[in-house]
Amino acid sequence: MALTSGLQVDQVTVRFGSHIAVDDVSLTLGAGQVLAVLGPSGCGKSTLLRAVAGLERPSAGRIFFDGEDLAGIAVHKRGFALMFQDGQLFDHLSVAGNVEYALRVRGQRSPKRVAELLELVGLAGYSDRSPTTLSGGERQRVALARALAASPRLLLLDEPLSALDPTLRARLAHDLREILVATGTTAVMVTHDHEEAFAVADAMALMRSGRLVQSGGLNEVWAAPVDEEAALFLGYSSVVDGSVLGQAPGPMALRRSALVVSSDGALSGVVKSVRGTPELTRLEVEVRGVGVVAAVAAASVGVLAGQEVRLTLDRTRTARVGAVS
Amino acid sequence: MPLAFLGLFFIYPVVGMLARGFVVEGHFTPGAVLEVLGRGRTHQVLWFTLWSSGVATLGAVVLGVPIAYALHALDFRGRGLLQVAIVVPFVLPTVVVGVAFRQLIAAGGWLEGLGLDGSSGAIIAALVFFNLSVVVRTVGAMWGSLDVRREQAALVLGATPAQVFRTVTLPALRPAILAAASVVFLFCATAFGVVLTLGGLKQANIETEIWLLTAHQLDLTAAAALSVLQVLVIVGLLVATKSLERRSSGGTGRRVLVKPSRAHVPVLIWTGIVVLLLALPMVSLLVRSLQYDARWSLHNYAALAVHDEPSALQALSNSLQIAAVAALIALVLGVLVAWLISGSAGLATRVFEAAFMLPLGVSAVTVGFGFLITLGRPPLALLSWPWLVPIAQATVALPLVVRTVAPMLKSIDDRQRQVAASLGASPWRVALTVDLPLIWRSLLAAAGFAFAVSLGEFGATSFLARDEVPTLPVMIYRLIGHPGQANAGTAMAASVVLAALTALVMLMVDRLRVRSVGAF
Repeated sequence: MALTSGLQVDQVTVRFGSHIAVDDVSLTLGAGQVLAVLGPSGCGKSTLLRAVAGLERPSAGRIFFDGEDLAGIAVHKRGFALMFQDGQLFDHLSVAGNVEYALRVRGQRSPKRVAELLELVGLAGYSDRSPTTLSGGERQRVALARALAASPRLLLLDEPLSALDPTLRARLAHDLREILVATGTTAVMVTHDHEEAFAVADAMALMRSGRLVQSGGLNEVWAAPVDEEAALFLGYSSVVDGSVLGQAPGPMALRRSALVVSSDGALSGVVKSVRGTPELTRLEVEVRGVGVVAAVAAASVGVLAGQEVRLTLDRTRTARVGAVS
Repeated sequence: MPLAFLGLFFIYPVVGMLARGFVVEGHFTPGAVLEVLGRGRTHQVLWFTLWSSGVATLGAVVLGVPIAYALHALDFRGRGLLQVAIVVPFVLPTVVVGVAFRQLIAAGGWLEGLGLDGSSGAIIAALVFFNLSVVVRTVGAMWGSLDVRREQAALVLGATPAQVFRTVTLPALRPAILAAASVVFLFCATAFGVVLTLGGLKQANIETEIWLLTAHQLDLTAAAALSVLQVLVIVGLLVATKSLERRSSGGTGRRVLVKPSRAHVPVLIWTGIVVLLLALPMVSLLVRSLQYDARWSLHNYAALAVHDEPSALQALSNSLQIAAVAALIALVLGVLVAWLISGSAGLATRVFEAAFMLPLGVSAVTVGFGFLITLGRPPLALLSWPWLVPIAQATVALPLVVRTVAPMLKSIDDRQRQVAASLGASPWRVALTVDLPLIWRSLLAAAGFAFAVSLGEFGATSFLARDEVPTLPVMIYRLIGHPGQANAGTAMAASVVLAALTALVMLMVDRLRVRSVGAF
């Protein structure tokens, strides 16, 4: 059944010769929603995105948008826009020329709209600059403005922030989220960085070796990773059996701050290493029957390597793995 | 040392040649030169040079650009073979191409009916035949390095494939197309062997006119006047080409080749037709070299060994020896030059680099005749010196070696050398352990390329080769100058041998997979 609005990927497979890049993936995305497709490099997430754009032909399955099968529709007639990791700006055009390009190929001209878009991405006054003179972050902002100028029915983002340094990435992720919400744009973003996914998206799909392993709302996926590998990829530091922590048996994912040093803790272990940060002290502690796990201590608590410490579990910083939610 | 070589064996002869024209009886008389420029024949020659080169350049670009796409952006069986096949005409000796076209269009040839014999159309066709590979390789190298995602970004934004080509691909290719076109124009305007064998006395460009004036009419003033004109035009073109190069930003990586789909059928058909057209003169040459008295026969090939003194076989042996020496000289000097110019990017380096590119554009005829009148007489009586022909050929091949090796040397990250040096390697050891392993392929390729070019060199050699020690191209030109079926047949057989040899060398060069060979 095709949805009447939004994107629907239905059992899509993409092969390159004998290699199966995307293996029987199904997804849906409502209008105005932002979906992050998260996975390690080589998992097929970019290929899936390119298949939606029409740049790769699925060898099986169908892709619908607003209920319409996209199979027979050429790339340039889909009304989408694609933003690459490195922007792929046209260096022979000015900044404004790049943004205007999306309008020009539709036979439109609107200097006003170009100026609005540049303002939206925080680059007012950059119109006449050459893309070659811009920093990486500025180039990505221009690429975003160019993609939005097409008023795309669906915006496809291929690792849009990965080429940037961490501080810039966090800021641009925040701006990207605001812009997508403000313009009500339906978007699919591919990334290998879970923090980027959390900062930008409403929903998340986890991919591994071409297969979709889990999908759902951000909090659903975060609260119940489907397996240990998914948990680690989402940013949990380790997965242990709940029974050794005095919880119900079954795998449990721990964040780096799930175990806290406290004198009345139920667990005990030996500190293997200590690293101070301004707010708290991060430790590696060997807990009997569990192994080496991450833990934290308040910066005011003095802890030394080799010392025996007691730990308590902060259950809000754990998740049940493989639980049916 | 390279500068001394260039000074002695290029600048001195060329300047000497020019001086002969301007200085009449010990007086500087530029008036005579100006008079030559006013002659009707000069205008005619100049006009023919410009329009035939222009049309041939346009033809090469129009035919070549689609092929550049097919051979450098599509993935199909036989693509590698076609990439080699397309370069073969460029390194074929000019005399061979002349002979091949002549036998195709002259009386008794497959295309006799077109009535092209002795026409400008035949010359232009041969010029396109020669230079197509320059366009295909130069534009293709750029096309192959364009990131396909830039075009995809435009496509997804809603541009039609035609719009994508016009607004994204073409602007990115423009520097490469312009660079290729200016180089092709340069080659066409200084073409000698092809124009001489196909145009004879009737259709002359500046180059053959200089030859006719010096070798036959002994009008050195007129020859010098034309040489000056040519050098000026060529230096202008070279400067323009260099500035284009600086502006082209180049591709960002390696293009992912796509499998041809239905949309690619026209470009593949186009490529197929052009390749067949390229093959036609050579196939015809081969077939007709195997016929004598309208029957299949190896008579023409047997005649290679027995014809007059010296035989064509003897000439081939001369050619091989001379080309080997020339290639060695060109390689040693070319590597030195490439090493010097890859070290820095200052103004002096750029001027130095340009100076070594000059022999590419300055007519080989001017070089050859300059050798004859400056080095063949006191104070430097070197003409009897058996090294003169190889040195002249090395001068001509030098820019090609530099152009093959310099990009490889420049592409070595200097930090690799710094790492080696910091680990305790002496400068010699750095060159031996870092540079050499990375460039040895391009050295071999450059040597092979220089060898192939020297084998076919005709312009300068035609002045310098002594009658009793001809090279094979010189021998072929002599044979077609004599009437009779036997001479024509032997010329065709000799041309086939020379073409096969050159193609073989280029095939081996291609196995080395050095991208800078033959790209401009």
